[in-house]
Amino acid sequence: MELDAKIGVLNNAGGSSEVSLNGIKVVCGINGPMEARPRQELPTTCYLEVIIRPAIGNPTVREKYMEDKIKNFLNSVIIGNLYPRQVIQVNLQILEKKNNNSSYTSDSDESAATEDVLLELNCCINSAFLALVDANISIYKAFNSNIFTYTHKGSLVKDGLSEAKSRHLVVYGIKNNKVDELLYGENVGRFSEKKLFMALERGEKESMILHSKLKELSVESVKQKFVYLS
Amino acid sequence: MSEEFQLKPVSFSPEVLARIAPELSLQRHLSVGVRPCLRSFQEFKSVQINPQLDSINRYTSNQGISSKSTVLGSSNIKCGNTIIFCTITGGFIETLLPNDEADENVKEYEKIYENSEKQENNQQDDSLSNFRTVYPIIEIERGRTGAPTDEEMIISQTLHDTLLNSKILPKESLEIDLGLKTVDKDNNEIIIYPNESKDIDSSLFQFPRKYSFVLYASIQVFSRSGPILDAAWLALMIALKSTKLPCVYFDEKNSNLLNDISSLSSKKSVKTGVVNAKSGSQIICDPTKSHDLKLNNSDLYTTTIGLIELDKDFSVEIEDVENNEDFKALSVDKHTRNEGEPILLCDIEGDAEENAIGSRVVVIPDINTEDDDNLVSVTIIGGGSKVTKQSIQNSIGLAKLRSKNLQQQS
Amino acid sequence: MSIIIPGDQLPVDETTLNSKKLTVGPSIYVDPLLDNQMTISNAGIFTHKEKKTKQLITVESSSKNYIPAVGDLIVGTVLGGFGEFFKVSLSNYKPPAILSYMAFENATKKNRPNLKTGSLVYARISAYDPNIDVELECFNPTTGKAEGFGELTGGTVVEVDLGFARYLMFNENNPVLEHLSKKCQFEIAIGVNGKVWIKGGDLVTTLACCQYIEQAQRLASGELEQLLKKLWKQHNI
Repeated sequence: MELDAKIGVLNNAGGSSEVSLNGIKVVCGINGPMEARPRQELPTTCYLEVIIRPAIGNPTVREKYMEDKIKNFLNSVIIGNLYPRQVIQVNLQILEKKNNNSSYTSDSDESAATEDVLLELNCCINSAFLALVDANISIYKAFNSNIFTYTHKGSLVKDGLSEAKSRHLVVYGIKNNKVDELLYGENVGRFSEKKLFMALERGEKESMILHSKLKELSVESVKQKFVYLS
Repeated sequence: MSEEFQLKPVSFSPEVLARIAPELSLQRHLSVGVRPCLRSFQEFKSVQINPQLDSINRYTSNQGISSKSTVLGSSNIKCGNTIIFCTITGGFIETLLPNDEADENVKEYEKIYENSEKQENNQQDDSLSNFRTVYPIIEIERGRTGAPTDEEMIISQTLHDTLLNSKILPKESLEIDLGLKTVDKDNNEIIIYPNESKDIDSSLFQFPRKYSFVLYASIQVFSRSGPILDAAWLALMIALKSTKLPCVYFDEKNSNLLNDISSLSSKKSVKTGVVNAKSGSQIICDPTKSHDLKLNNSDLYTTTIGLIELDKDFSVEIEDVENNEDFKALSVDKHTRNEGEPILLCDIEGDAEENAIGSRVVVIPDINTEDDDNLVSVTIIGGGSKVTKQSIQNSIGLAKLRSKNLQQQS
Repeated sequence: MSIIIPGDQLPVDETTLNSKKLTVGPSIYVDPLLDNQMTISNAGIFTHKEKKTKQLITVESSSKNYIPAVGDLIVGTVLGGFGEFFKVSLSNYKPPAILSYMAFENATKKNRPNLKTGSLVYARISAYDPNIDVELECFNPTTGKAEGFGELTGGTVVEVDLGFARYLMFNENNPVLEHLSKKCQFEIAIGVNGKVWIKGGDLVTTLACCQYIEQAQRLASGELEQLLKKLWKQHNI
């Protein structure tokens, strides 16, 4: 499913975005750099607080796990030493999630929660990028995320499917209009080394395509901000 | 203010320097070809898999005592200096069936069993809903009390998800075939299980509800010195391999079947699907009889490799490095790695390594399969040193070696 | 307008950059660890200005997050008096700035300025270091005179984007205020921290001016007259 996004949806947040992708809708609000609590202060860099709230219910350990995945690479993308002893808060609220098969058993609910982690992360990461740019927080490189699946027959498909032999979430960083480095890759299922590298390579191409779309949206949003100049 | 302000250099001990300037400390070590933990670059920590704690398991190979214990499986490993205990306990839940099937009418009972058999034949696909996982709780003992830390939460969720995604535990392994406690012709109490012998009438074993086990793992880590995902997963795997599930029977003596159903439906237990084994119901775990937990593939091991680029700005000069016996790791590494490629470090240990290494690759290979598709999970965390194709390939190779070693040991 | 976002390449090539003395503006990060490599770190409008012997590249970004700089003129809210100074809030969720009792015209130890909690001040940033509190002063350092600094009484404060605040401040004949001046009389103090203090003749005019400035952010200059008409009609002025 195609990505649909809006930038600057929250009035009170420094930067915000709303992204719909693959049946999942996420709104991201970014605040900061702002004053840190004493236990959060880091002397030479900023402290990154990522909070994910699920579509239904309260945050659980599952969301903590997702937050950790995002924090890992986001720390290396944000130019932390420009904001020492300050906090940047990234809030991600999942508004809509993929419909589970309306099965009667709780079996499918449980496994669906684990399966959906990658899909939700995919949407969250793209949303976080747009919101970071909107919030005017300095970043080293642009980034975006794509998800691929290998079917049982062995073909590589973009976007997640229910019946998959393996799933691959790929996040690339983009610098000087080129794919610069692999920031995060999560590959689960049953796959070979060859399949892994094919997925990573495909990820590079799709990353550039998605980047041009996200760039278009960001440029439009910046134009809106400076509309009074015209 | 006539005094000149002079900056005097301060020197720190290695442990302190590792804490306050981890990159500096690590780079200096690496430039000379050593690691702060004194292992060579691709040397893993030695793993000691200790024999099971028979005294705490409920069912032991000695057909022993502790039938009051609730521990179904356990493991005790030592990874380097870190000691990990893992115990597996269980509960059971009612398998929820669709409304139209869980009918009180006796004829409907037969439909349930018919249907589930059909399902088993048709479902050859390995969708995740056919597999189960364990609910782990990790405690990293550091002398503190209180709520689980972020690290503990993240590792327990990682273990939970990885176990489910690796499809090791099929749901059939946890399904309970209820036995029956009844009286025989001479009015003696006997416990009979289905499939025990051909004489027993299978219609005796048609119960109104199906149950299955739920497994929990409690993992305690002592002397943590670095990321413990690899060791915690190993402890969990070994504990699962040793797990014996109880044989469960239905005691019909206590009350009427129909009364039982109506009393259950008024209790909260129906909504949660959890059956109280003590009061009201008669579902009891056998004190001595048990069967092994069937796993699809118990030889899956996870390996974390740290990637770090050598930074020439921090290098330290030591004469005669190349010829010195103690620094052989440096020359070995130079031969297997191209210029500009990051160094691969196995089993990250210590403050300097843990804080300075930003890029990691976590691999779970399947060494038992002949298939080409022999990777179960590969997680790449970039952002530190650049993760290159060669480093991913080398990491996968190292993970396979490590898994084979661990397979031989366990 | 050349709009650029992080991840883009610098639109100016290396040879041009090396030809004259180069000053790099904000939103372009010069990485000391990578041999002073320049990266676009924020989104905004890219400009490259050249003179005979020097050149400037900068990206003009707009955000809501104010980062202080020495010499900036700001509108702050007094949080209270503590010993020898006032604590003044420049933006929400940030540490407050310090305005010394002596940092006013004709200030003596006995003659203390009378600022209550919640009052507004127009001040100048006299010192800023990322590691310590921001310091303010309410006089022009070269002349020692108040020159418009000090307490702002009456009126109200509008919060605007930083880019818009700078636009209002540094463009003498900007259409936004030009149009407003034809409609009514007003007093205005623009703070580069995104707070604009405005005071019209009476309460209703002040309210209308306030809404006008807030909404003018989102409109092109051609639509400003229409906005004014609409607001004045709405408030029956």
